[in-house]
Amino acid sequence: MTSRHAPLTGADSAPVPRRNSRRRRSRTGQVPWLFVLPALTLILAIVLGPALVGAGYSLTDWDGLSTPSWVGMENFQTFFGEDTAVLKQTLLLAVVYVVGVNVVGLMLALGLLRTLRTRHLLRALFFLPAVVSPLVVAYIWRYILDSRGPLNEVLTAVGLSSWSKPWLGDSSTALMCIAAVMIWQFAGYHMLIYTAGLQSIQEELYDAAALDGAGAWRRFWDITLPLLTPAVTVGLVLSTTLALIVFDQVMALTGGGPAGATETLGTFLYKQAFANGKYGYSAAVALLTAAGICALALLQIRIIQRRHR
Amino acid sequence: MKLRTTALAAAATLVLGVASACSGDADDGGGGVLTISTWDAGTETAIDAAAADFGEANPDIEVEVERTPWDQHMQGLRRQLNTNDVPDVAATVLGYGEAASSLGLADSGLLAELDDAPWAGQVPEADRFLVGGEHTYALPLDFVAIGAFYDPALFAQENLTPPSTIDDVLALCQQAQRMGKTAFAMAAQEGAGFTHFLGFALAATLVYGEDPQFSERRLAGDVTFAEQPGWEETLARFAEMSDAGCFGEGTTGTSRESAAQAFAAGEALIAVAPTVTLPLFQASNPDASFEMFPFPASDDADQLRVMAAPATGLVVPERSDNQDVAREFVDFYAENRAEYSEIDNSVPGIPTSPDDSRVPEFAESLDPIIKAGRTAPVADATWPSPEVLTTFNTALVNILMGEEPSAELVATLDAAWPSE
Repeated sequence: MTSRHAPLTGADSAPVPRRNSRRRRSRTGQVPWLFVLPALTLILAIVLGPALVGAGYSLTDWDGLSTPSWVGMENFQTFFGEDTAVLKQTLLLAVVYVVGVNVVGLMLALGLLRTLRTRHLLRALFFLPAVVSPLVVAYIWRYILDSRGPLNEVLTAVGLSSWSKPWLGDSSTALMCIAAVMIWQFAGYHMLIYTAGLQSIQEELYDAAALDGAGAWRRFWDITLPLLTPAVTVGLVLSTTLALIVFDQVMALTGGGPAGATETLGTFLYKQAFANGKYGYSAAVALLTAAGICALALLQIRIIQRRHR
Repeated sequence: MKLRTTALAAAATLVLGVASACSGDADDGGGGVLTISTWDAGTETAIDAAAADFGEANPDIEVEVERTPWDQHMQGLRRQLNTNDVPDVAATVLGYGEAASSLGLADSGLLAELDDAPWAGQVPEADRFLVGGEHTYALPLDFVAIGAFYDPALFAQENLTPPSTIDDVLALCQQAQRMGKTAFAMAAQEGAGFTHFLGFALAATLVYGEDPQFSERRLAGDVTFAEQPGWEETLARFAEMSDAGCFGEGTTGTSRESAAQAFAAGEALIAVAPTVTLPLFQASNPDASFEMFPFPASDDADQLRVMAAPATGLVVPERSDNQDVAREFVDFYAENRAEYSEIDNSVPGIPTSPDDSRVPEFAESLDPIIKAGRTAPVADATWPSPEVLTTFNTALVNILMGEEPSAELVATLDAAWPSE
């Protein structure tokens, strides 16, 4: 019997040559990579590869048919020189939507948190539009907001005919109508995010604050909001991303009109590629959109996490 | 979305079903599979009938008709013809105007020449440009004209007569307002089409009345929109009609369906649109019997022209490996075109005899003008980029929103014209 503490002798105890040890380490190091390889190959082939090819096309004048010619940064210069209105409209829509949907979602979550008996039913009702196709929702609202549609008819019927207007055909209201429809559809979705966040806050914190004399506003500002940071981060990132790539709602509600007043990055790059055959230019706008979304999302996360710390 | 369609194609999708071909296994031109791809019209179409008849006449050939929604077909066709998986016959829009219009595809070398086809020499001279000019790349399927729809019964009931001069038009606008109606159904939501249909009806007389060869000269770079005063006149007359209350309120927020319903219900007296739009109006009021009259854009009746041309056609892709059979099918369709046009109540793209009416019966008042050669090409079919039509629409919508017509507004059309 060999003592556990006895010095090892013989061949087994011979020091393993360093070269073999390195080889074994290297072999074991390969194993995780082999597991990852299939997924990595798929991601490269389906996601990264096409994205890189698209990025390459953004530097060409490809029309979808002929051999693309290299144009360098011309597509980007054209966008920033001639089509910045699209960018401004997208950002305006994004700001209104992100603020609107998160504020409304938070208010709904707070309002339906505890007291109401019907809160579960109301939550389901508010969440319902989020499970309907955005296209369906947008077509219904297009009908409602048509110049000859029910909204204007109701306004006229109650003596407010001076308020009736071509909601989707007036450049001063069309973009806000799109934002309103989006908020209407997705406020319930954000309500759920905030409800989950609110339910994770311990009740004792509120009780202690109340004993210390903190009012409702103080409790919200100093307890609820800081502890909701993870939910706010999720809400902001999701809503910002959706707003910047919005397509369905704009196409169905206004098609980018009137006179381009509601054209957003999503609809613009689609039209450039598939209607006008400017695939290279469209790829450049898509690349800018993707880069912008990444940058904004990272910025939001950084700012919120810093504040959270 | 649509993205945007040509003036006529937008309406044509409502009623026309035209087939196109898909890939095929060639068999020395004697058999195999003939694939035809077209957009989905929702009903059985002339091409379905032609495919069935062709298959029956050629039992060794299997004919497959593949249908996809309009947008998908027009966007996919352009890419598809650039691959090795091409249909043998394809339906598309003639001329330019769409990403996959026949001339754009022909310019890229993607279509086979059909110069030797027995029907090629029968294409009317006025339509030669649309099928390819010197060469023939497409069989025109249907002929459409842009005019003014009205309900004769309603006009008789209200003691109205169709206007024959622009002054009559403006007077009718005033009269309609007194009646509590709108003179013209107008929908200016993106893609609705009504704005540029009226713009085209105006331009037919104001531009092409003065310069019948404008399209060819613009394509050759011999003239610009800004240099042809008719375009500014077109915008000015559109603005004049808008200011006179011809279109009613809220047009920029009105959808095509909503405007069509207003016209069909008699709330609007006139709708300017292509002949193929009739089913859209009939769908809202099946009991009405609508007719058409030529839209007068000026006070000079002799100057009046009508935009009229074949709208859709069949093409044979250059890369089809079953070209002989594909050509046989196209010739077969052409030979029986009168029969097939009856299926969707259209008018053959190539007349079967000089006496043939070029328009359906409800638009017979346009026929003398068309037969007299006082026609203009459907403008956007001669514009090499869809962006020009988008810009034209934007200019008209801007006018509806209060912008004054100006030379600068016309210049935007030249700016949208693709540079070489």
